[in-house]
Amino acid sequence: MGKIIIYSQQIHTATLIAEVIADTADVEYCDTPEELIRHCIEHKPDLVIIIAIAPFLNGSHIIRRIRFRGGRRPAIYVIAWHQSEHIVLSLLECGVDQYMTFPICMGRLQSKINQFLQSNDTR
Amino acid sequence: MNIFTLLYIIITSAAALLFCIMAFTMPHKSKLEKNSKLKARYIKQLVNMLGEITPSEQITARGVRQRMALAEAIYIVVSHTYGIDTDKLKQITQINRLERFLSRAITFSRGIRRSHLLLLMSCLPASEEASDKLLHNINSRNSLVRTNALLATLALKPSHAIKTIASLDFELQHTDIARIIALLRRGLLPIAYEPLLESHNRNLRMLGIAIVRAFGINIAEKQLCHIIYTESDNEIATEALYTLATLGRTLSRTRIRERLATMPPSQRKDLCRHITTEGYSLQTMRSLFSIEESCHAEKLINSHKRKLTKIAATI
Repeated sequence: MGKIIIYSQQIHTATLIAEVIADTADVEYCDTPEELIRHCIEHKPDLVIIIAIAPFLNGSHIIRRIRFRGGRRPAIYVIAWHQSEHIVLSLLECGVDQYMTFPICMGRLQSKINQFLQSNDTR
Repeated sequence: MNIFTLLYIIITSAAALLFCIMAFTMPHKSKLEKNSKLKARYIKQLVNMLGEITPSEQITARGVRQRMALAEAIYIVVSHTYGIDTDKLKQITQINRLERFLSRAITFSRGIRRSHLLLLMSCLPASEEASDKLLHNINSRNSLVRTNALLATLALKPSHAIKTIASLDFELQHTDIARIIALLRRGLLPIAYEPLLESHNRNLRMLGIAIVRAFGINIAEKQLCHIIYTESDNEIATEALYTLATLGRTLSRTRIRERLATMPPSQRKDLCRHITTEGYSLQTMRSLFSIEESCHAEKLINSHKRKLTKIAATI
């Protein structure tokens, strides 16, 4: 079973996403960037889901800190409400692997995560 | 009175004050925590129930606190997802009498609380009759109440969406339109953009333009150009211009240049910035704007922000 860490400042949104993917992976969530980094170092997740774009805008180099040198390099998915092309392209430039917008389809998200974890296992 | 007595009085009064603050805030905090845990429990139950093919244990909520937590949990699930089984949600709503509960709560509340309850109502699969009771809230003096009442009415009676928006006696703001677009994204409103763009109603036209922009409907270029050429309302024409630029269509037309010339300098500068970030060439900018304004665009193109977008665009 894969390990997933969800970061969101809105605990109930994180609960919703965590519950959707709970069958496919071992899920943990956190609500501060520092906690997220700490979890990444301790648990070495396969995937990090960030439900906001704010951590990418404040100059905290969050991706560099998640994928620290010598550590495991987890995939990073971002889910947010923004649909502007510039924001999506800039996030991909930052190193984000997938960007999804709300509202999400629960079934699709589940199958996407499942597919990712299976391909990650075979690698 | 010596210094020790004074110190004793200060310390005891500070301790008493601290005790009072704690006595007031602690129960409130624990109540909030309890509500939050209850809401999280309902979210988990809802997700499990909606994801299952065979019917499982029913979700029950008794009393004000549990019903409110369930209504908020439904709001979180419904507003963040699409394609969920509304029959199951209807069943939960009916069993727990959430429609009646929220309708009564809306009647006996005011201001922010009423707007919050209306927002919860907009995500509830309630009957069409419930929307009739909310109609008077659309004309409320409180902008939050009227926007959320409009959203609730649109969600409960989607077939009357155009009629409802056309009958509004206030102008929809950009934020209001964005929230209607969110309803569209959830697949709740069956609205076509063409009749909206041709409408003479300001709110419908603005919504039509917003739909074209949000869903990237390139084939609406002709209608957008028509709005830019003929529209007397400067706000609608500007919005159509922004949309045309977002779609990446041709802007160097004589009639568009004529329209731009009638705009105030501040609006022109703002539009110049938008067009530049959309990736139009400097040649196009020079044909549309004056030399000073083109210089502003050139500075922006050479800036770090623009470079970042350009690199990203080549991926």
